[in-house]
This record gives sequence, C-alpha cells and structure tokens, in this order.
Amino acid sequence: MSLDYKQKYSFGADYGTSYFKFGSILCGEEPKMIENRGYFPRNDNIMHNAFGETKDIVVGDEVPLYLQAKEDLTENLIYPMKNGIIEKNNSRAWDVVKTISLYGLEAFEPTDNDFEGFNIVASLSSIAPRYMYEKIFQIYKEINKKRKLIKAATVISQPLSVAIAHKVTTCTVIESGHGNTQVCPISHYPIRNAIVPINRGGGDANSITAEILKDLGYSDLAREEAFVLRAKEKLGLIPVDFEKSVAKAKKHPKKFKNKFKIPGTRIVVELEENTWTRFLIGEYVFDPNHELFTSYFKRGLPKPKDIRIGDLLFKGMLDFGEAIIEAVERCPVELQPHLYRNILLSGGNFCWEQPSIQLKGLATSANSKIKLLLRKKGITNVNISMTNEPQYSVWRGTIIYGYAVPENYNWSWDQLEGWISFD
Amino acid sequence: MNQSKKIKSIISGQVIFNIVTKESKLIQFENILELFKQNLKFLRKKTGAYIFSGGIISNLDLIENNNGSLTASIRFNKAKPFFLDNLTSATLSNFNKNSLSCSMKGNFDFDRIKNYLKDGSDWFEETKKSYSAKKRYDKKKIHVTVYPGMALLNLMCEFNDKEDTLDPNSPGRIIKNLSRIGGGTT
Repeated sequence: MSLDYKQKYSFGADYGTSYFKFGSILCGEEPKMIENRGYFPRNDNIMHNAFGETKDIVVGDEVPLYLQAKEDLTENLIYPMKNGIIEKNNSRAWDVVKTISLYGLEAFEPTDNDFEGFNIVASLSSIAPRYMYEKIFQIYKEINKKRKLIKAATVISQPLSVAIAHKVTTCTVIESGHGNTQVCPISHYPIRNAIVPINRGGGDANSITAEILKDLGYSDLAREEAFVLRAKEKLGLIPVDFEKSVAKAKKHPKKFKNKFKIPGTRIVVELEENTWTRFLIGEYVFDPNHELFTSYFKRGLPKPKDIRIGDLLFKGMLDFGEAIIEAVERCPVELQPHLYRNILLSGGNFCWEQPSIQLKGLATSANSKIKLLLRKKGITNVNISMTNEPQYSVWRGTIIYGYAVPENYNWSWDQLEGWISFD
Repeated sequence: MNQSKKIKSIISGQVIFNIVTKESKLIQFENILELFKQNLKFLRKKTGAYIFSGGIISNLDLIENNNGSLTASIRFNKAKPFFLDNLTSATLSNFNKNSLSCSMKGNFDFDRIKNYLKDGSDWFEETKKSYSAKKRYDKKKIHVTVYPGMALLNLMCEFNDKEDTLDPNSPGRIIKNLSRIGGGTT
C-alpha cells in the first residue's frame, strides 16, 4: 500500500445519524451525501413483478421512486444509525448499512488496472460499542466476497476524525448531526468515559421550525421536510440573550424581517409581526429549557427525551454549555483547561448563516453562543472554533487519516486503530 | 443545458511531493508554510486551515517514509486556477516534482467532456457510473476521471519542473480548459 496507491484509492465513509457521507480521495474536499436510510419495498405485487425491477433494499437517490403507502414507511423505511448505535441483532438495520456501503464503493469503483480495492476509513459515532466495529469489518468482508472493492479497512470515531481534519490533538469536539450530538474530549484519542451524548440534533430544530410554520398558516408545507429545512436555514437566528432578543423583536418586528422565497415556486414566507420566532429556532438547538418552549411541547412538539441505549444515557434537554462542562469534568483536572481552550464545533447542526451587522448584540454565531452558555456557568478561558464546512469535517478527517496511517500499522482491538487487510 | 449561463465550479484537491531532509518535521512544516506565504497572498488562519487569496490550504501533513524522507500532502479547497498555478510552482521551486490530484465539482456538460477525452486518448474506459481517460494535453500526460452522477471531475497530473507550470501546461490552465469544454467557468 504505497503512498501513490493511497493517493488514488483512499476512501472515507462517515456513517452519520441521518446522512451517509462517502467518497474517494479524488472527491477533493466534498464527499457525496445520501440519507443514511434504506427502504424495504414490498415486492409481492403484480406491478413489481411484471414491470418493476425487484430490489430487496433501496438506498440513495432512488428511495423516493420506490416509496409506497405512508403506513408502510414506519415499518419499511429504516434509518439504521438513528442514535449512532445499531443493536447487535437488528439484522434489517445492518442490511441497510451493508447496502449503503456497497452503494458508496461502487459509485467510485475505478476502471484502472492497478486497482486492488480501496483503503476504506469508516467513521462511527464515538459511543459505538465494539461489536459495531466488528460488524462493519464483517460487512466489508462480505462485500469483498462478491467483488474485491476493499483492500484494507479501519474504523475511527467521528470526533477523532474531526480533530484529525483540523490537526488538533487535545480538544473537545462537539459533533452535532441531524439525529444527536456527541460531546467528546480528546487527548490524542477520544476519552470514552467522558463522552456526553445528547438526544438532540438538527432534526429537533426542524421540528420546532415546522411548529412555527404551522402557526403562521403554512401547515401543508410544514409537513415537507425539505421545505422546513430551508426555512430553518433561512429564518433561524441564534439569540445572544434569548429573553432580551425576543423582547426586542416583539417590539420592533420590522428590524428582524426576513422574507424567504422557495426557489422554483411562488411560495414566499413572511413572518410579519412574528419575527421574534426566528430566535426560537436558534435557542432550541443550544438550550431548549426556556418556559416559552413548554407551550410548544403542550401543542405536540416532541420533547427531546432522555433515552438509554446500552450503558449510555442520552439526555434530551441538556444545554450544550452544561454538556461540555459535564464531559470536561470527567477528565483529569490538569487536562481540563486544555480541553476548554480548544473546543471544536462540527456537524450540520452548526451550519448557521452569520447574522447581519444590524442584529449585533441580539443575534450571534454558534461559537459565540456556546461561549456565552459557558460564561453563564463560570467558565471563561475558552476558545471555540467552528470547523470549515462543518457537515464535511468528519469525512475530511477520514481521508487524511487513511492517507497518513502507515500501511504496516495493523489493527489492534485494544487501541481500536490500524488497518485490517483484506488481501 | 443552458449554454448562456456559465456553470460555476468548486475546485479542491491535493498536491503531493517528496522532501529529502535532515530537519525535523516541525521545521519542515514551518518552511513549507513560509514558502507558500511568500508565493501566495496569505490572509488568515482559521481552525487549522490557511486562507490565501484564491484558495484555502485545509491541511498540510508530513508523512515519514521508510527511507527517512518525508512526503508532503497539501489539501486545498475553494481554489481558483491561479492559486493552483502558484501552489505548484512554489513547491517546484524548492522540491523536485509533485503530483496533483484536483477535483472540480459542477453541473458540466459531461458528454462534451467525454467526447473531448475520448478523442485521441491513450486509454479510455467507461462504466455505468464513471469514465476515465489518459491523454496528452500539450506536453503533459493527464489522467481524468469523471463521475457524471456526482457532477465531479478529477484530474491527476505530475509536474516535474517549474517550466511545467507555465502556460499552456499549468494546472490552472488545464483545469480551466476542461471546465470550458464542459460549458463552465472557473
């Protein structure tokens, strides 16, 4: 596995809670993204047998073409990594993982004669138990039985991948995806006992955006996820001080006006006198504990629940500041200041537009918000940085890792690092 | 495809070259960075990335080889063609040769690119999802792989001396030309 070979055939696979980001080193700095889900179509009807191509599992861009009745979706549309963890015996979920892995590898399969398989670096949630590593390797082995697509494989945790992508060895990574958030202190390697998982991610921000849109009279559109996502990105604002920002917006709604038109349609969303609701979206991501949210919970907004998966408790309502403190305080005292001094924000849930200068003092960026949450709790000497294009930083880390780890570094189950060769 | 509207592309990738040195990795790292700062307009550092006018160096890694030499891997993003030219010529002024892997993302007319690559190519292969060609571009040998479904084109090429990076063989010029064939702008 020479460097020349790795320069062409390194492959990164980031198994996120909602999105699977994958691609070879030739992708440059942007991977291909598909939803991390698989659909099990019913193949027992005449239309399918006579006219359709029968598939056991459909993944990628084709999924919408196969969807059947709404009632089937809950049962047949599987998001395997919903919480970052797949149960050992959940065979349907593992089948989806196998299918999306194959889909990704085939998409980049080269035609060159020197190709002997990719060197694949898979990235899993920091809370993934050992059996998930074993299952991933087993899946790769099975893929290779049919066609040699993999030469060597390794698995790293998502926060470590973020740290690698940004060349930081001692830091706290907050990786916030669509489904959940992981706060993970890193000192050359993730400190597993200190990881704080939160059962809240970008999907929850979408939920509150949908509620706001419903209140504004866009009930039909609020059911469409793509529309809600756009509305969230265009309208959401992170408040400096939630109460003050909301009060100001209620008093001067025009100052916070933001018209948003859906491209290719005639639909224009205007918040009019409700521009203050823009702050609800931002606040909910970082701290959903304000009493204003209670009325939304009463009206049906699903409250992020505490859930237990294996030994881990995913807290639903923990604010991000408190979560960082909880994680850092589980580490040795001497290390703690270093962990506060380098906090890295990563993941699609931190993709927020910079607020305009007119909103200075009222709306802020994701890193400043975390700084404020920590300051409230007495932590001041902090340095928070947002990764560049946070939704891709895990994948970028997998590519750098794959290229840099020497070929003779064999996989160690104690360290959970190195290559497993499939030669 | 609407030809009147030019397609914008995103250029990113990796430059790799070898360094024979007795100096430590850390010193070499600083030296390379300084070299870039002299040849490219440095703006600021942001979360491990170095932002220059015309492009971002998102990662600079030095990997130790078995013979003690180092391989430098420089990953760049959001690059303009002139940034590619300056980056390669800066490395070639100090190090022997470098290999470039450069990706261009955009909704190009991939059929036109395919016809261009096929025409007079040394080697051409096509699968359901991609096609790949090795071809001479003026004095240079280029290897292009295209994934139309992902709106992605990858160029691989080696540059051996500073002369190589002059028009029309400069990496910026090659990528500009490929983009133009596909109806795009860079």
